[in-house]
Amino acid sequence: MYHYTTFGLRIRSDIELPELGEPGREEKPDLTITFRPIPGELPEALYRGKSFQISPSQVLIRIEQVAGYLVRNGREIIIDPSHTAEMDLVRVFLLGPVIGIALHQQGFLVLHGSSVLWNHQAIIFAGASGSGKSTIAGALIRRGFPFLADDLCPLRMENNMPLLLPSIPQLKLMEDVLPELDFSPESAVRLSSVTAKYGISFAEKISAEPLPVRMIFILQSEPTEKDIRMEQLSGVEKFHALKDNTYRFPLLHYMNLTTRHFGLVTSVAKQVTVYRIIRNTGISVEKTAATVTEFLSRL
Amino acid sequence: MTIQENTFFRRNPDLLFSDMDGETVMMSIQNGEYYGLDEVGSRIWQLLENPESAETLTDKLIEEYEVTRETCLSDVMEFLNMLAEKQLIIPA
Repeated sequence: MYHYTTFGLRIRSDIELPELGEPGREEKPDLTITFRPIPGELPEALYRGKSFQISPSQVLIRIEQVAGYLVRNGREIIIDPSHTAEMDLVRVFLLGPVIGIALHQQGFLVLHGSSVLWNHQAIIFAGASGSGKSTIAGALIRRGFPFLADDLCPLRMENNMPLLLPSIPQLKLMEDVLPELDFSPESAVRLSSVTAKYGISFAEKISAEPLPVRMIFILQSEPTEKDIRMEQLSGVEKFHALKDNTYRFPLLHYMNLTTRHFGLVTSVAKQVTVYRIIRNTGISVEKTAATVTEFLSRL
Repeated sequence: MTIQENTFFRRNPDLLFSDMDGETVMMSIQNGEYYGLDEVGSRIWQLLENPESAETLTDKLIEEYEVTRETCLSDVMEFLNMLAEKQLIIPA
């Protein structure tokens, strides 16, 4: 058994999860990860897609030639690996979409974004897949901003303040951006033999405590935009920006979580400033990082 | 559905809504759809805390906005029709 604390949850796992850092001491877990056979179907599923079967209390995720994952009430993940499964890949999906679903079930607002530390607070870069959120986080890390989270940004409200939970200390980047960001090849580990994604681990977790979130940037590529500009969002638009950048938002409906989600998004939206970063697809990550850094320095 | 000037409406109770910088966001618990109201729409939504008709709303709005009674009434009728169509309001 391996024990970890990530996202503020005590996790007990049958397998070692080096991405979560050094294992800690044994504690009563909030979330268990075990290996055993799982059913092929969820009879009570309200949604059946290629990879997901979803009911309010359980989600079954099937990744062909990798594993089936059953996620129950945010408390339990059961993994049923395929015979040919590469364990590295089993962990990639476990620590991505599977744990993302568990965080939704736990009742957090899970934003699809990456985060770095600035001025004692978490700043989040959210956006659609491929919008460059991990890359911009990587560029800011190179400029000295400490890493906080990648891909999954689970938030909870405490005393009317949105807090980002301490996350998996690993940044995932596509192979082609590594040279541009000047991460040494030794620091990046290929996540599995079948992906072009690399993981960069941060040995020291920057903060074991949740950090306040006051600013969220939404990355948007816009072919008609000549350069790069920032636009502050308010009202209905701000609400939608947070809703639409919720991790796998369309699935929440079948998990019976939209009512809770509405309350979370509206309360978070009232406490944060949201900016849209609109840029031409040709704008380099360096220029984007420079624009953001300059913007922050003027605040 | 065509509404009358003196038909009283109230908010559909199966809705979640929240004020956002003077605008209103809403979610229907029944169908999971999201809606947004601009500032004037949000003011009318505020007034709909108690049952109102197009007439009673117009009486209140012409005191707050620079608009003729006639224009206001026709805009309110159009707005209430839209709300009623989407079942955001129901006859009181």
